[in-house]
Amino acid sequence: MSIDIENINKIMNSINNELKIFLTNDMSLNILKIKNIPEYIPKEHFATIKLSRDISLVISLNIDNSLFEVLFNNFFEGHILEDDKEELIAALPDEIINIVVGLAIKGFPKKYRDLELGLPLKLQQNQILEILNKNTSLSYKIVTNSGNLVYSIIYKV
Amino acid sequence: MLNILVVDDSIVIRRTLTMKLEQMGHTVVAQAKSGKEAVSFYKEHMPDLVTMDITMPSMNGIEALKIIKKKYSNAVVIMVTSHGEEKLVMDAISNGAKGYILKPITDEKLTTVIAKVFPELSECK
Repeated sequence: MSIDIENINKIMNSINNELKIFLTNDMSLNILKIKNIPEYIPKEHFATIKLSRDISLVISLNIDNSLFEVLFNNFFEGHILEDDKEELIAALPDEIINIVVGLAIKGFPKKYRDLELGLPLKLQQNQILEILNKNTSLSYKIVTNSGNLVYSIIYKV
Repeated sequence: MLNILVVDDSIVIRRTLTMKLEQMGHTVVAQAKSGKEAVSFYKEHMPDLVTMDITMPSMNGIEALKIIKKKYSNAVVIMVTSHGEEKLVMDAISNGAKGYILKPITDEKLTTVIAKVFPELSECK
């Protein structure tokens, strides 16, 4: 089953709203700009998650190094063991996409509110690019005072 | 102050919850990565409180809650969810969970839910 652009835009709006709340209220950052971008390339700290039931959507999010450093420090406030650091760096984008997309579901168009959110997918950059190439996508960039976050919603028309 | 078992498949949540709970003066006696570990660690540590993630691979939080409550009817469990999925939360409450926290976890949310479940802690202050 496919989904039309009007509903994709509503889903994007809900994700944008939750990202705004997360970045401003929870992480105390300022959002300078949110803009539509033509291309999404996961290259720094990225995570991917799938929503499915009648339709299937893949959402991928990339956080640049500068913003990631701020988010990492906000999450752990410097209270981490050196042995944990590598695992925490790898896991934080998964946790952020899980939180944001999970909370965004309540703002989706009514008929898509029962979409099931899976666990974050362990995909490499080339695997995400392959999914992007085979499907349609819509991408946004959020510019903050501490760095940038880009994300893409990938769907079949 | 409470002895607490933290259950979550995400290391991010295990570590942030532990940090926040310890800053509040509680003791995190163990951190479990799955429902199976939660059941095992509960028996080993007999904590005052369990914070239980709902969505986890192998055994999810609701299955673990049911097993713990069946064996230890006085167990106090609060659920941790990122989904805002009322059905799962309601399922957990009907199976004996005392409350829930919606991620992202903040000090305020933690304080509120603990005060609700253990009002005597607030009264002691």
